[in-house]
Amino acid sequence: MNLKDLLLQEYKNFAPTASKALPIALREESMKQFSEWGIPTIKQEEWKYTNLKSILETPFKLNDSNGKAEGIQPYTIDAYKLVFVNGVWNTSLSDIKGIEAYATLKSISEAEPAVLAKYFNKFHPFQDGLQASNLAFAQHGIYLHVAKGKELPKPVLVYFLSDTTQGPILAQPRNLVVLEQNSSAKWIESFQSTGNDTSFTNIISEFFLHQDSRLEQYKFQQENDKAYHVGTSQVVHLEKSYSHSAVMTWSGALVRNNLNIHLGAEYCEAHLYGLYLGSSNRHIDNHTLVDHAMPNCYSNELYKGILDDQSTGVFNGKIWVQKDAQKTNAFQSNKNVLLSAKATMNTKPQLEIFADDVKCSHGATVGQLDEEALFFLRARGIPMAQARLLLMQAFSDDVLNKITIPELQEEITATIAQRLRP
Amino acid sequence: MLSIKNLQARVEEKEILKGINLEVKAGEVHAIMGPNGSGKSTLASILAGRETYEVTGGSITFEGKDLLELSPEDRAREGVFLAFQYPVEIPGVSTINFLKTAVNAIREYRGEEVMDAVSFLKMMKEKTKVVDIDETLLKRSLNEGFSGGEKKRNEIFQMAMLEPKLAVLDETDSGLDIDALKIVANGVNKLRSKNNAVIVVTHYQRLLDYIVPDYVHVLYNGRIVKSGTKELALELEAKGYDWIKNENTAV
Repeated sequence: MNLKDLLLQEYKNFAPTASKALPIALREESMKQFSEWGIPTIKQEEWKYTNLKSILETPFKLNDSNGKAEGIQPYTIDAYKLVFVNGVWNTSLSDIKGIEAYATLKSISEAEPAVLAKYFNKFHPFQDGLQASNLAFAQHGIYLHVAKGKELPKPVLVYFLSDTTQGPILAQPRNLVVLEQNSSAKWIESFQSTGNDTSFTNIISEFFLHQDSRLEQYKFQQENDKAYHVGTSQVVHLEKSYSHSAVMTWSGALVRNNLNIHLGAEYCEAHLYGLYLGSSNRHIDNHTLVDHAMPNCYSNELYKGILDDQSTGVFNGKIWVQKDAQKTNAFQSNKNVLLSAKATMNTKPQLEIFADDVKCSHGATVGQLDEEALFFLRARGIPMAQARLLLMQAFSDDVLNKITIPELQEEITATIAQRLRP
Repeated sequence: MLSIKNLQARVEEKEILKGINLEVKAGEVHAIMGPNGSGKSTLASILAGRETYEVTGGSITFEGKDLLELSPEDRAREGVFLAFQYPVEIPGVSTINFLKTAVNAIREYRGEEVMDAVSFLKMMKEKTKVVDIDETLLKRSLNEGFSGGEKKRNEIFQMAMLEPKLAVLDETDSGLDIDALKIVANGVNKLRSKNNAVIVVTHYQRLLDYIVPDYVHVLYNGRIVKSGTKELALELEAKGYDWIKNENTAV
């Protein structure tokens, strides 16, 4: 059975058990869209370079609650910890003690209908079959609501583990994070897997930033070489809010990271950072949108990639400056290093500017390691392999330095260095 | 220490060196002068192992070893140092960062113990005095945003840190004002000893007022056409390179 039929059939079993927090009509409508659209194909402009066909016939198991959490590689940072295994929240492994003084944290399926009506699924600029499926199946996920004026003292760290030891796994988590006025939070998503079988994660996280709130979000992809991942982060900004996103991918078979930012009020600021390392046949796709809808906002984007072997990378960076968004400052840069003649990078900055008093810039480069710099380092006694490593580390440090939690920065930097070593 | 015999080299189809002979002994300073395009920088680059040049004949022996057989890194570890004519900028790599790797790569090659962070920093502090370089510069990305003088001083600082047996200074004077030139020359002089040797590649005599050579060679059209002592540099300065050119076309 192909993936589309599998999901259609699974939905029939799922619908009667679905949480009533989300109106069943919304689910039904979404499933109807899914049955029309199906799994995205390369015929769709937004999916031109990223082909999901190799998992269409995989006999996935959905929301399998028998998965084991063993084998998670925990980060050492002090954080509120949450664990999902095969798309299901394992509350017994979670540690969120004390968070209630600052925020509400519960399952998305227990969120009040009024909350969902206000915040849920409000910004979805590029709808496709996968997003429709995620919405129809929305059941497992975190709803975090940080109270007015509160600053979470620790980051919220969510592990999404695919346990493939019993066969292929499909998970569709759905998270909602609301930051009330003048609050702040750090949110970390870590994707990991155990076993050697295929997994497919189709996740959406939504962030709603009230006035003067501040979000830092990190996403680290470190699943096995058979992991397929399509993840979407939707960030809605209200007045003077601030977001800082860093998305890093160094594992998986096919990884698609969508990051869509809506600057929906004045004086907002958004920073978007990405780092991706391709090796073997890995395919890494980063699609970003910064939607400048209102005046006087600032956005800055830097994505960097190192691609080796036959790996492929995709960067598509859209910046929309709507006609009201005067005095916009929007900057974008995508830099890539190809280490092998067989590696491919497709990069496409896409600026659509409808306001006239704006400052926008973009740039994309695809090149090799600097030969002159390599010769210089070797002429100082540093062996070739180490010289290359130094240059690659320097290249990725620009993005790694954007992890503002020092212990986490150290940990991820060490992991990346390990990956870069020949 | 260094023996170059009948060295010939080309880049792509163009012959640049047409049979160079040069003997350098420990403790000596040799200046190699010559007009633009004579092959001076090619010679310096070949000594360091730059791969854009193809050696088509001759030999280079360094401390009894066939230098041409060695990779650039092994030449450096054997004690050859090239001060670059155009110092490289490397974003994200600080001088301290790569020097620590370099110092230890060289020590490892020589079978010496790896230097710990404390001893390294102590050594660095001492050596900054040689060329009077600001320590904060060394923590920044290599040569990024440095002035011409700072870049050249950084090259000599690296030389001080790596303690080479043979230093090749490729037009280290180019782009320097007189004050910077004095600082750089002074740094080189402090590092001179009876155990090491220096080859100064330069277009102008000016630098040789401060780094006084034992021998001066004039390179023209891929060959050394004149050798002498420091007086030869002064004669060149007085008569200009046309003197050499005319003499050699006449032959």
